Amino acid sequence: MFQKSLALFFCFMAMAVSAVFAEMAIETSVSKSRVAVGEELLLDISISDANGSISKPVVSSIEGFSYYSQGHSQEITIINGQQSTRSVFTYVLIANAPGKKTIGPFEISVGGKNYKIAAVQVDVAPGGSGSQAPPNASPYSQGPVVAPPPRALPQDGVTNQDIFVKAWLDKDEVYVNEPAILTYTIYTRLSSVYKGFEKEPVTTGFWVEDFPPEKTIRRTEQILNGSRYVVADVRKMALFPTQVGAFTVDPGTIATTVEVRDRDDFDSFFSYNIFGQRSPASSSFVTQVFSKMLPTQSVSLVAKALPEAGKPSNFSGAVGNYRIESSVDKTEAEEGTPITYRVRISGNGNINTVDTPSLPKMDYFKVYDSSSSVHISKDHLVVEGEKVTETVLVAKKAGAYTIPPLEFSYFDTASRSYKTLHTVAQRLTITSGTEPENQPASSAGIEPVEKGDVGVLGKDIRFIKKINAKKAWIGQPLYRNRLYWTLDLLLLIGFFVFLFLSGRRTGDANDLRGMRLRRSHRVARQRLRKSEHLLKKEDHDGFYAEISKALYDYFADKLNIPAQRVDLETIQTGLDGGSSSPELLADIKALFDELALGRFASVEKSGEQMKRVYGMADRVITTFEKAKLK
Amino acid sequence: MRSLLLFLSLFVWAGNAGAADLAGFDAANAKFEAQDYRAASKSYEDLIHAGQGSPAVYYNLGNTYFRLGQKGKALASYERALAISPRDQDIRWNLEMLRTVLADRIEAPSDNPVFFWARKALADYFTINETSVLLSALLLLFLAFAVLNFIFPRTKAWIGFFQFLTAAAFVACAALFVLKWTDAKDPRVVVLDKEVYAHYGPSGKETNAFLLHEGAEGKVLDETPEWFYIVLKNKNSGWIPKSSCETV
Repeated sequence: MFQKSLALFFCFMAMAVSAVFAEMAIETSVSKSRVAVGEELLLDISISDANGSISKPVVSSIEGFSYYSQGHSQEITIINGQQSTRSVFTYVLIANAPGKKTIGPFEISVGGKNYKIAAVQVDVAPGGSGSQAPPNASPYSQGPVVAPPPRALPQDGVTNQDIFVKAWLDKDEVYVNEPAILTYTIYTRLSSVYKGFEKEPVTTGFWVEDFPPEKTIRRTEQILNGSRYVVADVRKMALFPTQVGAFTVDPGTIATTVEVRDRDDFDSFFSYNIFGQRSPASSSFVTQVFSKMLPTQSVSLVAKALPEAGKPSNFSGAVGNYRIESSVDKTEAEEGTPITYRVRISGNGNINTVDTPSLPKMDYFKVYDSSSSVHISKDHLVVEGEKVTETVLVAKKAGAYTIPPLEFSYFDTASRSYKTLHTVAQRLTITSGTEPENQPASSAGIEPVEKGDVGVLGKDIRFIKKINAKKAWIGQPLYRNRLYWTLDLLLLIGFFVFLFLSGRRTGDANDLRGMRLRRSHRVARQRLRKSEHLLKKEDHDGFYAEISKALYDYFADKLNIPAQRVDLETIQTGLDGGSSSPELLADIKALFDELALGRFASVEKSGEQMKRVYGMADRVITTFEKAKLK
Repeated sequence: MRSLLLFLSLFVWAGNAGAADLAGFDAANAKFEAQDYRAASKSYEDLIHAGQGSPAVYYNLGNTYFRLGQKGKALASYERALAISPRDQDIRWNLEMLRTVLADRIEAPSDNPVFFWARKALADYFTINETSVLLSALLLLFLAFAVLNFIFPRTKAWIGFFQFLTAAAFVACAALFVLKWTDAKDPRVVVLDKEVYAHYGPSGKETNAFLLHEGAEGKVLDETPEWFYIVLKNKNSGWIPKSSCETV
């Protein structure tokens, strides 16, 4: 400490020496010449180009003001080797009484010589903003509560007069679910830092909404019992009583750290750096930091029951000031597509506990579970927000529908009365869907269900039969019945008989030669009879044609050759060559000759001749029938 | 034509065999439903003795015995019902249920798969009488074709095709008949006693061959006045007293 002081001393000595030729000037100025009672003003005493060490100005007392020193700053400027110094002592003056006041004169000792400082005149207006001082630079800053540099501190440390907490409610009496704002305020004359609650206050019986600290910490300065305090609201919370009764918020404890400074003027002086800025390093250098627990007071609140008079039937406990509106995401939809119906309740109050009115039962819609989201804002030191409830509706059938208006009631805390709001009715147009699988079931249709396996739960025999429908066929089985086998045998025999019969017939039909042979005589005789008729009619040409056909066909059938190939030679080869063969062949030759004559020579056409030919043919056929063939 | 009339008359005879005594049947059912199984079994048996046996009666009697815990008698009744009405799924189900509670597992050592399939798919679905009738019907069809052939010698191709089909069906049916006949020709027995020893000869003094439990089935190959010589599906054979079993 001593070494440092010495070093600084030499430094100042050097400055004093270098500035010795410059002319010293002392000025006094105030930040404003008119103030109201309770307002503060700054008094600057500046000493330029002092040629010697400057002692603190002697400020005995200023009539009509309370004051404290805000510090001492020093500037050294060197321009083109020309050095100038300026030393400023700043005081904060708070007007206590109205009237024309004279501040000063003061005395200051520079380089061992005493100088007089000129007085300044200030007008102090009465009233103004009362004891409330204008806020300091950044009322919303979250930083530590910085008290003005302490004046003469009590030697025995920090008293409850230096720093204390007040807990206060904005109302003593509220309705159930009406918020009361509880505020914890720290009053301090010391440089201190708020560290939060060591022990939370007990808030049984309340729904609590804490306000965010950045919105609550607000620094002001107040004069209390003639002392200047820095006042900060460190915590604010909204208390919603959940039931009727008198409630007490039990005390908690706030943790703070407090800087306690030495009384030594020299150190106090050097706790400010040379440029007039307070630095944390120098501060900690000369201060000691203590932690201090501040007990809070308990506060009491009476929660009243809501008035019964005029309470709407659908009232569900909402207290505050609300608005309600409904909307749909689309007013036209296809059958089976979902429509979102949205109800939004917004306003001040405990929005968390507000019940959204439910939709009435609507037969034409499938209603799916609704979801709700709550958004709470505490930006303006009131609990406000919105609750959005979404319900998905799926129309079962095409058509035009109306979602009826919803009714919402709340107790308005401002007017102390119940209010009922209505949403607007929503009109929906549903067109028939295109996808059949999305079509919901109607009474006329089929709604397919998801298939599941039919599991066997237990095993047992099936129940007795109640219908004795099937007639018994008991007794000896058929295969032991002789009649059955006889019948089968008969069927089999019948089958084989017919098989044999038809087989024979088919065989005969296939034997062409045999067939021709068998029928040759019969056919020849038929033709001969026909020629006989023609003979009687004396149809010469017809007779010869018929008898020729009879004979040639007869030989062709007999020998199984085509009729064109019939001549004497083939007949001769066909014959077995028995005893009658030469005569028969001669007869056949004579007959063929006669036939050729009769058919192709036009001379003799007498009936006698025809008779003779007929007789020959008859004789040849008869003889040939007996002849043996190969 | 005469044979056809004979054949038809056979059907008529079969159809007229026994008109059901519905009142007796309903009364027996009522007893069953009242869970008076002993009385119900007696009623059903009376119906059968009176010639009123039908698949329903045998089936219900089987259920009654099942409820009475007489597995052997239940099995015999179900088998009788199934022999008459082989396509009845209720009988098959109950028979299957009953077989799950029988003590003896008697399986044929190895069955030819084709034979097994034929039995399962066809033989089990027709009675032997149905097979017999089918056989006769096919014979009749053959006769009809032969007659047709004789009257109209020029046979058309499609008639030939049908003749071929009929011939194939006849062969299949004959095979089926043989299958059924091998099953049916020997009487079958079901063990009714809780336990019975099969011996190597028709006497209790003979060596014990194997032990059978209630519900075991076997084919009768031979018999004495007191004993049946039976063979099991697994080809084991032995003599069991007639008093311990019942023929199906």
